[in-house]
Amino acid sequence: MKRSVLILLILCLAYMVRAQEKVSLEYKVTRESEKVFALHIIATISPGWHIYAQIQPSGGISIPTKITISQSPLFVLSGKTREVGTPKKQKVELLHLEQNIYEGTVDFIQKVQLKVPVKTQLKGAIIYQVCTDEQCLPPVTTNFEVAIG
Amino acid sequence: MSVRFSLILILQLIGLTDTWAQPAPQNVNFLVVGQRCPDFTFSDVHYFPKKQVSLNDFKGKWLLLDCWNENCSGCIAGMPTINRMQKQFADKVQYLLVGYTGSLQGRKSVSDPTIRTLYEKVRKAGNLQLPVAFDSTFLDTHQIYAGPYCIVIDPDGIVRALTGPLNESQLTTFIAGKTPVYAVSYPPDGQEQNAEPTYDSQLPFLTKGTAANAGSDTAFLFRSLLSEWNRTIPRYMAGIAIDVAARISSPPQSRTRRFELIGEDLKTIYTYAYLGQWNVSTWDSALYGNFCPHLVLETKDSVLFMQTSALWEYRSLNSKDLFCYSLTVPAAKVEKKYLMGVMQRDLQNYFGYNVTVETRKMAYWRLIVPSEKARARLRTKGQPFTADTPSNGNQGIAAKNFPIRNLANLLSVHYPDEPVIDESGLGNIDLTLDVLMTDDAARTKALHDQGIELVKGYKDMKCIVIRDK
Repeated sequence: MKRSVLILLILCLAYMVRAQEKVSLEYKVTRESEKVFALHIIATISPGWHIYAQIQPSGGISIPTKITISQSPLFVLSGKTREVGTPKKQKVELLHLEQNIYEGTVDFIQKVQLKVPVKTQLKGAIIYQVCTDEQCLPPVTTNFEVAIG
Repeated sequence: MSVRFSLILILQLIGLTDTWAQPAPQNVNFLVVGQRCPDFTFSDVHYFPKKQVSLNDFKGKWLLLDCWNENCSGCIAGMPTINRMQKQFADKVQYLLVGYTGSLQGRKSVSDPTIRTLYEKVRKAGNLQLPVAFDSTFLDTHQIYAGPYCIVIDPDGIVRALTGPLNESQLTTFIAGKTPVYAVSYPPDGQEQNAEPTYDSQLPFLTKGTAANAGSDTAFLFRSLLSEWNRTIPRYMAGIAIDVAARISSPPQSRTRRFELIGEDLKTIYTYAYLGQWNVSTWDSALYGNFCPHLVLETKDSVLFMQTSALWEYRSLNSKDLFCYSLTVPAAKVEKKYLMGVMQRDLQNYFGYNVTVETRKMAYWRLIVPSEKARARLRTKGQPFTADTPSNGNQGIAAKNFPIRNLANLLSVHYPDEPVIDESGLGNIDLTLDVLMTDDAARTKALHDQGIELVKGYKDMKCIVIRDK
């Protein structure tokens, strides 16, 4: 009996480990007004890991998250990419440094204004680095393409 | 059992990673655990008696190359610990920080002073006495971009581990010539480099859960599928009875149930088809000792049936020897006999072997403990179960209150021709074997010293017999 519980537990663990991707990204587009759309890139980060905010203090060493969107004659980006999440600080003691990080989830929101009422694609890339307090993986670039309009 | 599971877990950890698209340099040569570290020369070395070092300079000591880069906050956070461990293990271990002079962001020359300046700052702030080499050739060649990426090299120059930060207890275990449990570095080897993680256990194998030709690609009520395995697929097997695995594999509301063996050898696949589980369970009193855990091969070519569970080195697996089998059936059909029947027919259809389950007189190793004194000593004193067995099972065992049948299974790896079956009549034991298990003489002696003997015997057992058609 005990053993089958153990096996089930191990099996569940196996599932959990399998599902482990440090960061999963979800893309969503919402319509704010007739011509204004908001692209949401929602990052869900594995427990224990964090990614870096777009803005870092001077002397920061980690790679900030960066979202780039290819230009198009059909739309303009309005404003900067906002971040909705709970910002936290990562202390790097030896450098007397506090970097801006996100754990859990963070939503990167970029507003886009169409110049003409058409359907089009937003093409871009998000670059981020994922770390724990003890180790860092090399930065990851993920390309995306989402429809608006 | 637990060793098998830890293998599975370890394999799960491998190959599940985000993509990292650093263009590979020309001479990529991935480090391999167990092989000699390729020779290297670092010519920009500081805080060390020599300005230029190569692998040979460290012969006779454990060399820990702690690779880091200027974007790695965790690497810097760990340096005071390394500094302390270097002092503590000064006579046996040499740490060498290897700082990457290239860029993870593709925008600077290798003579860029950033990492050098950064190390100076950190060294002063932390009062570090650690030697550092600045390099990009070695790190690019071996595709090392995670940090810290610790390369553990033994006094003979053999790579013992590719890992992240190590703690004191892990280092002590390495120095003692054993392998502790350690986190596999990222990526574990370059073969994962361009591999997208393509297996999602929530979905049937080779589906995406999306619209397909005339419907969803998971809309089937019945499907059985066989494919070759490849390195982009994390290995995964159910590890339990076929019907139990099928029952719990899908969401309860789903109309279908699924049984999958992903990246398994034919021995395991045939054992599932004809026994209903991956191996003879040690706790199954009807089967244990009565059902032969080895297949009887009466085929011209037995190479496909080589069992891979002993091949702990994932990298050395030949993908052609492993298969993925995925079976989806209506939920109401989940029943052991039915599932085994489908599987048997599928294997028959594709591989075409003639398979029977027969009773035969089989040679085996009897594991016995004749001496009363030894029996009394081995019998568990009743502490809670603990097992400190390195993941490859080769470095001995230290366990309390564990079934002696598990010991028999562990030993089986070293007696490939005949199974090892426990006939000691002892239930759970406390045992410490501090010996390199692959050394036949030393292992036999260590067992003998504990009163454990392996004696050749013969008995009637049920066997899965595989013949060419």
